[in-house]
Amino acid sequence: MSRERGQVAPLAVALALLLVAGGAVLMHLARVGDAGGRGQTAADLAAISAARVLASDPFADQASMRAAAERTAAANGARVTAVTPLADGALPIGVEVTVDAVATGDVPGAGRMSDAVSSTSRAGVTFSAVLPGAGFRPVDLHGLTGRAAIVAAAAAQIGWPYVWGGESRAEGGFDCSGLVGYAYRAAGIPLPGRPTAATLWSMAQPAPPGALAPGDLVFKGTGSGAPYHVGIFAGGGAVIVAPHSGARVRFEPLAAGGWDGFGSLAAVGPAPAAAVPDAALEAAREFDVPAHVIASEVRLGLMPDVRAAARTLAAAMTAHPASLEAAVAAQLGGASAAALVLRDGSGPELGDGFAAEVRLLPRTTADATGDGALFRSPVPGAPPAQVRGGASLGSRLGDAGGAIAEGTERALAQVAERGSHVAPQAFAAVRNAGRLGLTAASLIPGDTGDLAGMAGSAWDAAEAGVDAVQLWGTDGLALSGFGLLAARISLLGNAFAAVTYGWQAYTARRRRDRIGYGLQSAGSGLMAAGMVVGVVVGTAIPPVGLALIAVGAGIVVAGYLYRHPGWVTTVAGVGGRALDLAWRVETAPVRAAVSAGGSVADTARSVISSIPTPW
Amino acid sequence: MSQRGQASVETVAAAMLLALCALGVVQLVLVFSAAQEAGRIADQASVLAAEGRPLPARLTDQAHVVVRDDAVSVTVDVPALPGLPVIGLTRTARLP
Repeated sequence: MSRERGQVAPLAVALALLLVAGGAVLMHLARVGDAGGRGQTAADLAAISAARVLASDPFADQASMRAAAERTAAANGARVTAVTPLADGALPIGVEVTVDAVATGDVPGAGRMSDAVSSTSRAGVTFSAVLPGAGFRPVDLHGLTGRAAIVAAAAAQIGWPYVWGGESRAEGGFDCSGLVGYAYRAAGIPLPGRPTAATLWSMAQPAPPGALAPGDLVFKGTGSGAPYHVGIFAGGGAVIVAPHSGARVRFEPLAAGGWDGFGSLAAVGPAPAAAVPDAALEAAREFDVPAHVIASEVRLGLMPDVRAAARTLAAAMTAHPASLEAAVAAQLGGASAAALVLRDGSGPELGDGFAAEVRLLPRTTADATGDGALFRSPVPGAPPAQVRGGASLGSRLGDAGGAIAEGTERALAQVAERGSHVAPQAFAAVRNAGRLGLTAASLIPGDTGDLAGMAGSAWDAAEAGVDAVQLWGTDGLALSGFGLLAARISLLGNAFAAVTYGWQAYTARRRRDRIGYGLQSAGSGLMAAGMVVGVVVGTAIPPVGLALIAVGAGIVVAGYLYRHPGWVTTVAGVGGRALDLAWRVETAPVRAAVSAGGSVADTARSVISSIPTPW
Repeated sequence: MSQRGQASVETVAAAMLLALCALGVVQLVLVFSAAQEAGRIADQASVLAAEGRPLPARLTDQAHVVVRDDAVSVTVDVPALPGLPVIGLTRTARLP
């Protein structure tokens, strides 16, 4: 009777210990999961924080973005590990931030564990610019003064409509003297009142046309003593002028305009000895476009040279005559790029006309297929479990133990991936769920279970084989944190399976089963051996170890097939049909083309049909 | 003296202990699930707040969300087993 008492107490104690240990592991898993969640929030907010810096200054340096990201990440309990500006060519479009959130705790059997969960997030910035509704187009004169500044300010207004008496967009456009008044004022040479062409003529010192310098004025109607039209000499034989109703501010050849009076305002100062060549202004003259826009496009790296910029902008302005913003957007293929150009060309006077919007970017599918152990199971090997009808209770429990070990490993691998991108996590979840499903199915008694076990081993062989090839020449598959713990569990599971299969081989009555289980035992042993180095050293499973795992899993598959010779025929048949189908699909276009070719095609088709297939 | 009864008592006690532990595990899972939910809502709400966008009703319906200038706090009620008090679990995200 005392034997019964002894049976209960150890069982209760064991269950209690198991519960406590399981609870501790679960708690740490929860901590890791929580760290993953916090890390993702920290990454999201840090990315937005960095993107805000970019939004306020599109040409902000990486250090200032990183500083903002670090402040936000630290406030949310994470640490920034990488900040990468995102760009579309030369156009800044956002920033990617990676942070680490750490979960620390004690785990029975694994000791003090500190797991850093890495999370990455991207925030995008889209810029917008609206030119002022009233007043002239602002222009950043980039330190220009005097005559050069006058010409630059006037050249920025190319394309605006002429309105008699107008001097702002609110009035629908400019007239000729309104343009002159604006250009001089922008250059820091304000003219008194609102001078008309006649007033300007009276203020000017007449000069011969051959002595004109950029910024001087040209007139029409001086014969009457009260000219009715005025323009600004831009150099290079061209005049910038708001011509007449129905036309737009443009460049005109000096010689073709009917100008009959020429003069220089004293406030402008003496003409320079030699004009400084301005490539942007020359291209703007040639294509009749605002010079400051094409200069900015080249300066920002959005256009290769000013002539290409001027040519494409001229075409866009023809298509969008009423809006320079729309024209530049059409030219550059996006409003965000246009906004940056207009901000750069317009300078601070654009003010509130320039705005930016920050949005978190969706994770890309490319992340799901990227390199790195983060997105794949840290341990490709897994103990194949098999249960056959009539197997002993011991072997059934052994198989179940292996399956549980593998299931735990898969779950740990999944948890280890927490905090990574959502899409890869989902991808990994589906993959791990698939593999876990095979493991669970392997517990089904009979051939179904064996088939699932074999499929799982084939899966492991393929996964480890691919990893071995991809990581050949490197340190191998890195192990840390839960990846390492998962590898340890998997090692135990494989060793357990090797012993279980060995026992089944030893006790099997049929020769076929003895050999088959023997192969499975040897394969499981090889898989365990492949993991030993990585698990013992605790840094990585070397490529040789991965190769051992692949070979071991392959031997396990061979063991299953040896025990089920009928499957070989089935697998070969299925494989043959698959290859045949692939062949037919692959060659379908060729065969279709050949069949359309008449008698020659018939001959070719018969030749192709006569080619024997190897299956 | 027979010890069969003693064994039965121990079995019953162990079963009750196991049941209690199981209930504890269930409650822990509920807490963990609520924490996950709070974290998810805090993440979404803080991102929307940082982007300057309003919070949709589907978020505010699921939890008590408080948006301040520098932080977003999300409180969700933890489902409790019968007899246990309902507690609120709060997650806070610091805005940039």
